[in-house]
Amino acid sequence: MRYSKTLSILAVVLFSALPSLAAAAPTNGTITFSGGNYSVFNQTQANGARGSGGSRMRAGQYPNGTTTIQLTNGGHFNTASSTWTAFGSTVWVGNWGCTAPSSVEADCNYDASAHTGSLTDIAHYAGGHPGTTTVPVAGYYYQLYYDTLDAPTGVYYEFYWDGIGTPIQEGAAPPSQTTIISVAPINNTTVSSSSPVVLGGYVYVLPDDFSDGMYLEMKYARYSDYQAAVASPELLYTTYTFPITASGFSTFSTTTPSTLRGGQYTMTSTIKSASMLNGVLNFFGFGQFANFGTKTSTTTQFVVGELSGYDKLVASTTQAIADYMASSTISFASCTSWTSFDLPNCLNLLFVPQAAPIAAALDNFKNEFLSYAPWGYLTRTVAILSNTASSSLPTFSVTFPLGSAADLDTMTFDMQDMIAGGGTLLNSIPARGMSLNIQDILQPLVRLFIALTLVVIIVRDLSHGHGGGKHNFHASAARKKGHV
Amino acid sequence: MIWYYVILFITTTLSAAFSWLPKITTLPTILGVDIDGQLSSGMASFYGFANVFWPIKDVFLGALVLFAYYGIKMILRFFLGHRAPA
Repeated sequence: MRYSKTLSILAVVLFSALPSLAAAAPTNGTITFSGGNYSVFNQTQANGARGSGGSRMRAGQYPNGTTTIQLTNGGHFNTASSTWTAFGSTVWVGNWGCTAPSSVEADCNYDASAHTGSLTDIAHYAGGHPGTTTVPVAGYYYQLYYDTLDAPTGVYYEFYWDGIGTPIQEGAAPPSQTTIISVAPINNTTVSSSSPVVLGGYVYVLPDDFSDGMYLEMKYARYSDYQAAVASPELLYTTYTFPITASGFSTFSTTTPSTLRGGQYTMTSTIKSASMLNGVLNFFGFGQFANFGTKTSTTTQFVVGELSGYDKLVASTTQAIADYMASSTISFASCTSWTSFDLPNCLNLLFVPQAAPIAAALDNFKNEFLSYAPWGYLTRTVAILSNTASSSLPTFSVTFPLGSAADLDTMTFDMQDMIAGGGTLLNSIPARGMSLNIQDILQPLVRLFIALTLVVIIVRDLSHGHGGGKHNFHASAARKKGHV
Repeated sequence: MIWYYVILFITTTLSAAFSWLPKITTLPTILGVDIDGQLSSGMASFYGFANVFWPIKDVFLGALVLFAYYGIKMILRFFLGHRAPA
């Protein structure tokens, strides 16, 4: 009886963790800064401190000749020579210049007084990649710092620009869905094999998608390692996780502990919410199925050092496996049809499990066989229990007479407002002399209590707190002797 | 893909064999009480309550951990029989 309850709860967990994949496609907005003095800085400059040699812009790219940021209503740029950087390593060098209408000035550097009223100040970046005109096609984000002339304030506007469309300003027009805006190493680029590789990502998480325990997972593997015979393809990947602690824009960066071996790499970056099922699947070596809680994912590739001839050979022969792993649309037509016959795909289909079709098959199993009476009632119950839609708490009214039966008064109680509003009010009051509110203080204690309770229950259960199992040797022996 | 076809075979066979049974899409209404609707709205309210009252989530997570423990024990019992602990 106890285990049947356990089964139903486990089923709830299983069904509730079905994957939901969302495509990443940021929408464009308009960037307009109204008033104020600005400078562009490298984010690594702490608290808006001005970098040596002038203002800096982080993670820039220069694909179209000119980067234009427009200020209106007296906006002003503090500009000097700029360095464009991508996740810590300098990739672009050039100069910022300013043009202003009505011949207010030829160089808008350090000149705010001339900008009043509704003049428009346009800054453009006039630099380029040193030594080459090749430009990586990827989006980056920028930080535009707010200054009071020569006194940096540390306040900045952050926006994303893919180099082609209109920039997306944080706060004004954030992406419409959780998205991985950019990753490092940049897709289809070559990084040095003589120093550790910088790994990083810039992501946007919708407030509705955010949950505790959310993280950005970045994993990479060398194509040529696909030749190795391993129990699970997941073992070929080196995985890094970066906890996402809040919704909105977040940036993550780290370096690999050592240099990477030369060759072509594939990298998959995924935003995931915490899932117990993922942990279990990873533990048992079925990491390729650990897609539960996936919000969005992107796959890129990069080259470390120079490709050797062997690398090129291996990369071309294993490309089919990599494509197969990344695809969920390769069908058995690869084996059966003359027109679409593909031997590598056909062999892969036989032996390498694909997550999507198996998930679909299990879904069919749930929707067909498991929905028949009488067990269909259990399936329906599990489906209801695992539905995460939430609704506001109900309101209720109390009507009572005031002195006479005809003189009635009605009081309405809004439970949602009482509890949510009360909680918000309570959380807005910090403890005396510190910034912690009652939730910050009590939550660790509540969790400690729950954790200790669990430990006690489990230890008691394991140490035969219920008098021992039916088949337990010591207990049954003791029963036979009449000691129990 | 072999596993896909194994699952497909099981699904098809079982579904065909039991296709004469009625398909359940909603829970029944008993004595005028819409069990399906009540349970759905009840769970939605529960999630709403859990969203505004944070300890509920911790208690719920604790319960899940406990049931996971029982689940692991059940699996051990299945494979080890009477040699399983407790």
